[in-house]
Amino acid sequence: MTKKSITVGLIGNPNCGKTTLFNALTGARQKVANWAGVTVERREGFSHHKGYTIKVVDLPGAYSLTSFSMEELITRQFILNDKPDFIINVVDAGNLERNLYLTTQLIEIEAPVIIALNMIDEAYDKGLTINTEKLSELFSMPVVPTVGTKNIGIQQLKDSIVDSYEKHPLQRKIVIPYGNDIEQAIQTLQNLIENHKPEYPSRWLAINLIEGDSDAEKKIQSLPNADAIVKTSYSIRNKLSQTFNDDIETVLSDMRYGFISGALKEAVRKKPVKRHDITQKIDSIVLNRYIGFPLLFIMLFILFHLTFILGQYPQQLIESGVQWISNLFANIIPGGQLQNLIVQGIIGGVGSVIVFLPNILILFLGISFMEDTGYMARSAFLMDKIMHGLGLHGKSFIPLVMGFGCNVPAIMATRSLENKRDRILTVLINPFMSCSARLPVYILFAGTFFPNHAGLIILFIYALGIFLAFISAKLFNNTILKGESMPFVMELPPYRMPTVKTILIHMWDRASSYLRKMGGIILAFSIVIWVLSEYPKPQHIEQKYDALIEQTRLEFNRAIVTVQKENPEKAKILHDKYNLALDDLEIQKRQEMIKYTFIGKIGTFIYPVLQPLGFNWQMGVSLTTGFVAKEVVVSTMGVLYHASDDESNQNLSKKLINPRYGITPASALAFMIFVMIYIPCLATVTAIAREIGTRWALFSIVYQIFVAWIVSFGFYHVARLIL
Amino acid sequence: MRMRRRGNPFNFNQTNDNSFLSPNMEDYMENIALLLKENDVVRVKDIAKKLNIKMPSVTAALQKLKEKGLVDYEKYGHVQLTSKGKEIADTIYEKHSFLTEFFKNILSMDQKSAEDQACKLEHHLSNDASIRMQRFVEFYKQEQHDGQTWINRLDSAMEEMPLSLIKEGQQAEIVRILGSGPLKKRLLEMGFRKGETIHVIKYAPLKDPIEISIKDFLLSIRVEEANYIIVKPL
Repeated sequence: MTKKSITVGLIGNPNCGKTTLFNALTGARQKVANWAGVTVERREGFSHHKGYTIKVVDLPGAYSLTSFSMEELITRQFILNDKPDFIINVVDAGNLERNLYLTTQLIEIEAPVIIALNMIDEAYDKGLTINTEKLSELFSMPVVPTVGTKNIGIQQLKDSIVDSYEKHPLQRKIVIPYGNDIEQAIQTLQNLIENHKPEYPSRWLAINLIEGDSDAEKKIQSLPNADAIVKTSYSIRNKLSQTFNDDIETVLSDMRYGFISGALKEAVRKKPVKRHDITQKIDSIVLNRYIGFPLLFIMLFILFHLTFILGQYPQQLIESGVQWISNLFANIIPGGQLQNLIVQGIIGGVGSVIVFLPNILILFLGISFMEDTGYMARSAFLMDKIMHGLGLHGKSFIPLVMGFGCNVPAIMATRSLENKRDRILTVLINPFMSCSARLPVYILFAGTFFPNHAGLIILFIYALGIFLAFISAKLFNNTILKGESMPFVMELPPYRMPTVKTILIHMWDRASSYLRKMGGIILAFSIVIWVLSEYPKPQHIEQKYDALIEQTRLEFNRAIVTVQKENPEKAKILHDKYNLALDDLEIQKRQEMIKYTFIGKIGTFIYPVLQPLGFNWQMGVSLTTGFVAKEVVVSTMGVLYHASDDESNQNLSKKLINPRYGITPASALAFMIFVMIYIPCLATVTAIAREIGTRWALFSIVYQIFVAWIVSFGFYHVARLIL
Repeated sequence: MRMRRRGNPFNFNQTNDNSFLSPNMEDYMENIALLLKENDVVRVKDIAKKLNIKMPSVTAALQKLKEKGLVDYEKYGHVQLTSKGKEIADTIYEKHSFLTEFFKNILSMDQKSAEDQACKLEHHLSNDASIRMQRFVEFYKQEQHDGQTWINRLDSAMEEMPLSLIKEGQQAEIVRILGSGPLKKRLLEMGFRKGETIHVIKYAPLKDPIEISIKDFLLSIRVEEANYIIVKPL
């Protein structure tokens, strides 16, 4: 049996319960991709009903079908070009008037619409009685009452889709009437357009031309009389604004609203109910002048704590799991290069991917909870004044704070920002929020070189990061991201209890998109970098030094044995000397070995650039390997200085401060600053590329390195004068 | 009447027709005249108190005015206006009164801001301008008295203000949306129509943005955006 398939697009205002309805329609059978050419998510799901496969495409939330934002354009393009069988217009029953505005536009674009009258229960609580048959008749489209959160009306909605499909094309066409003057104008333009068989509905084109829509103007360019049409539309526009003594957009939207209120008068009864408005009560606490901010900070503290402190436990579990598997494989596979590749390269690489998973899961559990309850919009409301001063949006605040934990989930969290420009800006400055992986570097260097002021120095580094973030935001705002900012007008949705299903789906969604989209890239790069740091194998160096070490051992042994009896004191001194010499040889060996590998060669190659910052060669190589992850900076140092592995890095610390390696407090400070600013890590770069595009990721790399160099250079030279 | 001290009392105002008095000196004349209306005798102390200025400064100013032949004043004695002085003081006071009336009655400003503006403007209007303005105020009063309808239209237009000036808890009716572009479009599609009622629910703790409700839903809007929404308070 071949199943027939029906494609429907789901469209609705923000906060109309569209996502919940989508989940109710499709369950977990979803796939997420991006719309072609843009980083706006495209979500698809499937549902089987009465022998049909219904493909549901979730369209971005929109208030209308104008062409101002990317989201609206995508929706418009989908309707016009993909020609779905139906558009399911999700309408918040408690907010009919505004929600139906989009419906009037769907009528105009001549989309086959089925209305899902969602959250009908809330409307009932508000005292509204909606006559769905009447509404269906007035709008000439099926109307199905639903409650997405309670799975009510979902079957009926599917029935309606299949029914309408089978009856197709029985839908009657209706038009929004605009009155004589405007109708005449529309007719004039329509006649001009229809002369040449346009691809798009001619009435819709005509109305959009009158409204001065630039996309509609583009769409008629293919017609031979395009110039004449545009010219006519301009003169009509002028004439009409004179007739109505108002601009034509206002007049048209007024008439659409007139049509809606006319329909609602017939179809909706409102009886006054005693309303105890919970939303306003919660708002009076949550947005209170005195406790609003403390409450926000407590919420963020909890979110941060859960994500990054509680998240450590599953992270440790994952790490020991990876370790266990590594050991297992190390035992199975005979030693050698293959074992190395599998254990260190592949398993290690996989480990570095999934180690972020707990953070991502918990953070998006929290964020999804905040979004679905309605608190997210309130947090933006509270913070907007400060954020707007920096050219950001109120909603940028949470992703920025989360950056202090880890930039990867923080960058993914910028998805709650609807506007693309705001999102790019928030992503670009996020790496300046010094993540927890950079802390070990600060602790090591500040503890070693500024033992009495370590805390202060670390605090200064963090503050410097925030300062640079703000400076960069200002800079980007006035240069590369300059442009008309979108209006902030943001709905503060009523507080709602989110459903577990929605939150879990959202959470799983993020985690799986991380694994699928970023995991592979991070894994591939980890292996590449592992290869670069392992090859070519410096075996001859190893052999040379091993021989040297053996020789030294023998020499000292002989010497110690000869003096042992007569002069135990001297023997002890000799023994110490021997240890020192051994250590020296080990360090030399490792340095030469690393120098021989690709990554060592890269480090050596770029070293001259880092020299003016007071860095030694070891620092240069550590920074190179630190591209993978910031923790690696410290472990590379450990290897290069042949420091014994102890928890507190005391051994390494002692070696770092040894004057023979030439690290001064000034260069240590410059190094910490450089680590804070330059490329955060491979995973972050991947996240940036995935969220806002590869070009921005490359830009970010260049910008961060550039800023890191300049700022470190400045601090190094100033600190050298003072310290 | 709140008078402000000018920075330099000897900086004569060029645009003024009776330009031999600085705004500061005009303030002195006006206030002496006012005090004389209320009291039998006026002392330096009284003037200092009324203008919130130190006594020695007042003495110095009175000396100046005496040199111009506008006041009678002996040390430690009472202050009197000469007939020339009285004439000037009256003109200034008259300007002040009709300017206050203009701001208060015609432009619908509150008493305090109206007086404040009058105090500032009275020193800078030329005689010609002030005569014309006075004529306008008289005309308005006559028309109002005759019950002309344009007066009502003007009054209601004067009540209009941007949404950003509406206080917490107040309601207002939309008159029109200014500007063009994305903001206007967004507002229109969200149902910001003429005649719709907006309820200003609260200001954010940092005074920006504003939480409003319209058509049964809540919105957050920045103050700079609220400036584009012209409303009439209800």
